[in-house]
Amino acid sequence: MTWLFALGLLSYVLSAAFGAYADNLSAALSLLAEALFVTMAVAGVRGLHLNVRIPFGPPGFSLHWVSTPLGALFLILVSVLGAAATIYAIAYAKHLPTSKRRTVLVFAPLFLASMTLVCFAANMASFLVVWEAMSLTSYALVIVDREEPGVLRSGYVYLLMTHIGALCLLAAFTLLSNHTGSMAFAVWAEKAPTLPSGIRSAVFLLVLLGFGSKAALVPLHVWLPRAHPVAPSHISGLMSGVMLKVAIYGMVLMWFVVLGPGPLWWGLVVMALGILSSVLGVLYALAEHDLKRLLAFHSVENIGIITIGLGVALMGWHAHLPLVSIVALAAALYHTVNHALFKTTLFLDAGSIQHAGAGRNLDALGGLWRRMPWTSTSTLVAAAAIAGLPPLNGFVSEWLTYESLVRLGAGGGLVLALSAATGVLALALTGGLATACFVKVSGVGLLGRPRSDRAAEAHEVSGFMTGPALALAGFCVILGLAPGLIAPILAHIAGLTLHGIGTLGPTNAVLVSLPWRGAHLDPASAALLAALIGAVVSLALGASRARRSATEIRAPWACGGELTAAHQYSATAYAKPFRPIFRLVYRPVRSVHVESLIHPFFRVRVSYEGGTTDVLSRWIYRPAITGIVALSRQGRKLQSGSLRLYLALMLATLLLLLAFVH
Amino acid sequence: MPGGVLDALADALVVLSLALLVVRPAAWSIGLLAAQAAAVAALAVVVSHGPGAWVAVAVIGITKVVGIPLVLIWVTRRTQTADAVDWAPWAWILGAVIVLLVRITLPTFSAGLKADHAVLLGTALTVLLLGLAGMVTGRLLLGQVIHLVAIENGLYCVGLALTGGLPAALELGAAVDLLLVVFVLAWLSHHVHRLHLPLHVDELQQLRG
Amino acid sequence: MTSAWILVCLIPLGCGIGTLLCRTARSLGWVLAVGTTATSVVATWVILRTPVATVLGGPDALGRLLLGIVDLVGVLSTVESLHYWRDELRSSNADLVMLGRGIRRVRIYFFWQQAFLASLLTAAASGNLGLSWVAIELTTITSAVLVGSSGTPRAIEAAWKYVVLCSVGLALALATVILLYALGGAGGLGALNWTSLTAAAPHFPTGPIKLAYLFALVGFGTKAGLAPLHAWLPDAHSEAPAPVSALLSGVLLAVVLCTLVRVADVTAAATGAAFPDHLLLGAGILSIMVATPFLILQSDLKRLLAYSSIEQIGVMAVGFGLHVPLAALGAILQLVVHALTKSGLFFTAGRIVHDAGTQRLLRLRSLGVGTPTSGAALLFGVLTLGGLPPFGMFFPELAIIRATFAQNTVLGLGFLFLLALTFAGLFYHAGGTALGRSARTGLHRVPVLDIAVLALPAALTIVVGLWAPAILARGLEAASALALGGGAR
Repeated sequence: MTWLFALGLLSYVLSAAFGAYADNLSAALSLLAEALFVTMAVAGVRGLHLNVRIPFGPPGFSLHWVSTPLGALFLILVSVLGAAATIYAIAYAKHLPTSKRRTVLVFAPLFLASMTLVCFAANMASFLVVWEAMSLTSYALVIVDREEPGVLRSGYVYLLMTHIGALCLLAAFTLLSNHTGSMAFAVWAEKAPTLPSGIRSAVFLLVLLGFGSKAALVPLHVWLPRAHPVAPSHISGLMSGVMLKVAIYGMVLMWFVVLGPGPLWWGLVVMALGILSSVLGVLYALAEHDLKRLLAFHSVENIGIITIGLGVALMGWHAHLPLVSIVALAAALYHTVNHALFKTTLFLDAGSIQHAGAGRNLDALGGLWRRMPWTSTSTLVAAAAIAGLPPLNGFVSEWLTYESLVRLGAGGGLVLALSAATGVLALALTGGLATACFVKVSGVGLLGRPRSDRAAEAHEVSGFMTGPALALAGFCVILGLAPGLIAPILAHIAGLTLHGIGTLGPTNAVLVSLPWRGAHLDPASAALLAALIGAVVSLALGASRARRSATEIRAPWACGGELTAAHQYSATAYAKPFRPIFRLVYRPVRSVHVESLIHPFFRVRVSYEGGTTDVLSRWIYRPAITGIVALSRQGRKLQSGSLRLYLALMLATLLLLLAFVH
Repeated sequence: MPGGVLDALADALVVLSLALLVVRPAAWSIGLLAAQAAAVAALAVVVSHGPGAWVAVAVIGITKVVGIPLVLIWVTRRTQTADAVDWAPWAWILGAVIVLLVRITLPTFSAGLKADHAVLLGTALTVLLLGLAGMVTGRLLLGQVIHLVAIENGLYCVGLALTGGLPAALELGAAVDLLLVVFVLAWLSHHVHRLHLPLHVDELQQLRG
Repeated sequence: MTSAWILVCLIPLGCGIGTLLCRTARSLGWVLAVGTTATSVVATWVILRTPVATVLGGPDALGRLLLGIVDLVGVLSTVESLHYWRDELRSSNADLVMLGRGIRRVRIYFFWQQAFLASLLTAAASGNLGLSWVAIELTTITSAVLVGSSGTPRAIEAAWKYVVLCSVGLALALATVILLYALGGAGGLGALNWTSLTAAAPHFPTGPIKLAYLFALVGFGTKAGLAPLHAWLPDAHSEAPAPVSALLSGVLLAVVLCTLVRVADVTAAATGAAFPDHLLLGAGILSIMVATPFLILQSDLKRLLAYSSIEQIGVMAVGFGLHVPLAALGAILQLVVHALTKSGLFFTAGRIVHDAGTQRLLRLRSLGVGTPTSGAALLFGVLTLGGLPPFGMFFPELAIIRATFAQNTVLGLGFLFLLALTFAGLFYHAGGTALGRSARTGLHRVPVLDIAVLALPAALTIVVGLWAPAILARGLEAASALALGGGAR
C-alpha cells in the first residue's frame, strides 16, 4: 500500500512537472495516479491499509498518512472526478494560450494531489499542510485569467476567505492538541469526548467556521460565486464538485469521528445554516443569468442540503436515535456523492458551451439541443438529477434526507419535531425552486432558437469533452436506479463514523421507509413508481394533444412585426415572477433609462438595467470592511512624520513604565 | 566622601538640566550644555578616587566640555541659527512632572542600593529624562543634538553613581559612539542646509503613513 | 585561537577599507569577493567549533546561529549591492566623468556597507552585553550614513530621524548596561559576559534590575522596532538602498531583539520570569497591532515590507515572551526564516523599484513588476510571511500559535485574528503587485547570479522552516534553550 501511495503521488508530481512541456504525457500520468488511488480505496475494503509516518518539520512534528473507510469514499470521489476532469482538459486546454495552458496543466495535478492527501491526513500538521496546499493551488487556477478585470479581486476574496477558514481550523486543532497532548487525530478521537464542554463547543464552532468557509455555507459563501465563474470550467467543476466535498469530509471527520455526540444546539446550528444555505442558494441561483454563477449558487444550495443531513445526524446522536443518525449521515454522504457527480457534469457542459463559442449568458444561448446534442443530453440528465427528479440519483439522496427528518420528528420532543418540520419545509421549497431553476436552464439555454449569433454558430465539441460529461451523467442514472449498489456501503461507513452508536443489524435497514404505516418502500421503487406515473401522465397528455392536433400550424401573430429569437421567453422573464415574491431576499433594483430627441415620444434608445442586491454582503461584509478601513485610517495617524511625536511616544512609554510597572 | 558636596552637585545638575529644558536661544543652550558637562566632571572627581578619576575628567573635558560644544557652534555658524529661539511654554510642566515622578518611584527602583548611590541614581534619571523631554519639546534640529548630549551626560552620572567608572573599553566605546553620532548629525545638518530643508523638526514631515 | 570570532568582525572592516583604495570596478569586485569569502570561511569555522569562553565572551549557541544568519545575509547583500550599483550607474546614463564620480560613490557605499556588516557581525557574535551595546550603537551610525547616502530630502529626513531616535534609544539601553554592570559587582568588562550575568543574577536586588529591564525594553526595543518605539523603522527601510534595507530588516532587528531577550533572561533570574516576559509579550502584541493598519492601508512597497518587519518582530517577541520551549523554538525558527525571506523581498523590491522608477504601489500595479523573476520572488516572499504551508514560516508560526493557545485561549484567538488581518493587507498590496500585470517577458535576461541571490534564501527558508533536518534542529534547539535563559533556571 505504501508503494501504491508513493507511486500515485509521484505520478501526480511528474504530471505537474510535465504539464509545462508534454500535455498528453501529463494527462496520462494524472490518469495513472487517479487509477492507483481508486485501487487503494477499493483495496481498503479488503483490509489493506496505509499507515505511513514521516518525520518532518521541527522536532515534535511529523506527517502522518492513514487510510480510513470514510477517507476512501472521498478518495474515490476525488480520483474519479479528477479523471473525468483530466480527460476533459485534454481537449479543453488545447485552445488556451500557452502560458495559461501551462499554468492549468501544472497546477491541476497538484490540486488533485493535495485533495487526495487531505483524505489520508491523520494528524494536525499533515492536514493543515495539504489543506493549505489545496487552497493555494486552486487559487493559482482561479487567477489563470488574471489580466481580465476583476479576476484578481475574485481570487483575493477567495484566498482571504479560505485563509481565514484555515486559521479557524488551526485554532480548533490547536485547542484539541493542547488539551489532549497529541497532534494525532486518533488520539483526539479517544480523548475529545471527555474534554470540558466549553472547549468542545469552541472546537465545534471553529470547525464550523473553518470548513464552512471552504464549503461555502451561507454567509461564508461570498467567495464562491466570484471564484467559480472565472476559473477554467473543469477546474470550476473540480472546485465545486470535489473541493467543497473535501470540506464536508473535514466536518464529518471533526464532528463525528473526533468530537462525538454533543449538545442539542450543535445540531440546531448546523441545520439552521444548512436551511439558510439551501434556500438562499437556490434563490440566488434563480435570479442569475450567468450559467457558471448560477451553478455556483446551486453548489451553495446543495451544500446546504448536505449540511441539513449532518445537522439531523448530530441531533439524532444527541437524542440517542441511532437509526436517525445513521440514515441522516448516509443521506448526507449520498448527496455528497451525487452532487459531486451532477455538478461536475454541469460545469463541464457549461465549459463545453462556452468553448463552443456560445458564452455563458443564458439570455444569449438557446437552440443548443440541435447543435450540441451530446452536451445537451448530459446537461439535461444532470439538471434533472440536481432538481431531485426521479429516477435519478438526486431524488434518492433527498428522499433519504426527508426520511431522516421525518424519523427525527417522530423521535420525540417539541424541539426535534419543530426543527424536523422546518427542515422538511425548507427542503421542499428548495427542491421546487431548484426544479424551476433547471427548467430555466434547459428551457432557455438548450431549447428554442438561438438568441445570439454566437449561439447560432455553436458546434458540438470533441469527444474528450462530451465523453466525461456523459459518463458522469450515466453514473447519475445508475445511482438513481440502483441505490442498493452503494447505499449499504454508505450506511456502513456512517455506522463506523458514528462510533459507539451500536449496530443496526442488517445494513439494508437504511432503505426501510415510511415507518408510520408499516409499509416498506425504498427510494428505487419509489423512483420507478414516480417515473411510471410520470410516463403514463405524459403519454396520456400526448395522446390527448395528438387527438386535437388536427389543427393547422401557422406562424403566430406578432403585432404585425416579424418574429425574432428575441421574442422568446428569456431567463430574466422566467425569473420575473419570483422576484416580487422573494423581494425580501432579492431587494431588486431596476432602472429604465429613456433617451429621446426633442419630445419624449421620439425615443432613440431605451435601456433597462435590473438586478438584485446582495443583502448578506451589504449587512455583514461591507460594514466589517468599512469598519476595519476606518480604524486603520485612525491608526495611521501614529506615523504622522513628526519626530517630536515619536520622541514623545518614547518618553511617554518610559514614564508610564516607570510609573506603573514595578 | 563629603555628603554635602555630593548633594549640592547633584542638585546643581538637576537645576542645570531644567534650565537647559526651558532656556531656548541656541547659543545659550550650548553654554548650558558645557556647564552641565563640567558639573558631571566635578561629580566624577568627588565620587571616584585615584588616577582613574582624572582620566575620566580629562575624557569628559575634551569631548563634552570642549569638543562637542565647538562642533555645535560650528554648525550654528554654518546654518546661521545661533540666535534662533525655540519657545516651549509647557516644557516647565513636563519638567516638573519628571522630577516628581522620579522622586516618587525612586525608592522602589533603588531598593537594595547604598544611600549615596540612590541619590545619584535619582539625579541621573532626572537628567536623562529631562534631556529626552528637551528633545520632545524642542523644534530646532540643533536643539535635538544638544539634548541628546545632555542625555549622555545623564548616563554618565548613572555610571558614576553606581560603578565609579565603567570598564575602559566600554567608556571609550561610548565616547567614540557619541562623537560619531554628533558628527553624523552634523553631516546630515550640512545636507539639510545644502538642500534648503527647513531647520525645524516639525517641518521635516515628508515621510508619513 | 580562542578569539577567532573577533576576526570575523575585523575582516569586513578591512575589506571596507580595501574598497576605498580601489580604482576600478574590477578590483572592487575582487576585494569584495576575497573579503566575503574569508569572512564566511572563518564564520563557518567559528560556528562549527565548540565555544570557548573568553574575556569578551565568545559566541554561544544563539550567538553562533545569529553569526551564521548575519554572515549569510551579509554575503547576499554584498552580491546584491553589486547588482544594485550596476543598475544605478547604467541608468544614470553615465558619461566618463560621471562614471568616475559614480565609482567614488560606489567605493564610499561599500566602505560603509562593510563597516555596517562588521558591526552587525560583532553584535551578533558577542557574548558580552557591553560589547553588544557598542556594536549596536555602531550599526546605527554606519547604517545611518547608508540610509542618507542617496542625498535626497526624503533620505536625509529618514536618516535624521533614524539617528536621533536610535541614539536616544541606545542611550537608554546604555543605562541598562551600566546598571547591570554595577549590580554584577563592577568587576571589569568580563562581568558583562552573559554567562557571568546569568550566574550572578539570582543575587541581584529586584528594584534596580527591574529599572534596568525597563530601560532595556525601551532602549533596545526602539532599535528592534517594537511598537510604539518603531517610528524610525519604516522611514529608514524605505529610503535606504535595497541591499541595506535587507540587512536592517532581516538581521539587525533580530540581533537587537535577541539582546533584549537575553536581558530579559537575566532579569527573570532575579525577579521571576513573569515580570520581563509579560512586558515582552505585551510589546509583541502591541507591535502587531500597530503594524496592522499600515499593512492594510499602504501606498509604498518598501514601507509595506518595513511594517511587515514590525509585525514579524512582534510575533517573535510574543514567541520569546511566552517563555515555553515550543514558542522559543518557534521564535528562533521564525527569526531565521524571516531574515532569509525579508532580505530576498527587499532585494526584489529594490529591483522592482529600479525597473519601474517608483515605489508607489498604485503605479507599480499598472506598470507591472519588470521581470517574471521579480514577480515570482515577491509572491513567494509574501506567501512565506503569511505563514501559509507549504512555505517556511508555517511551522514557526504554528509553534508560536500553539503556545499562545496554551497560555490563554482568548489571547490565541486574538493573535490569530491579527495574523489574518496582517496577511490580508500584505497580500492585497504585494500579491496584487506581483500578479497585477503580466510581467514583460524577454525584456531582461537575468544573469544566473542575480537569480541565485533570490533563489538561495528562498530555498533555505523551505529547508529550515519546513523540512528542518535533524542536524539543524539540534542547533536551533540549543539556541532556543539559551533564549529561554539557558541552564541557569
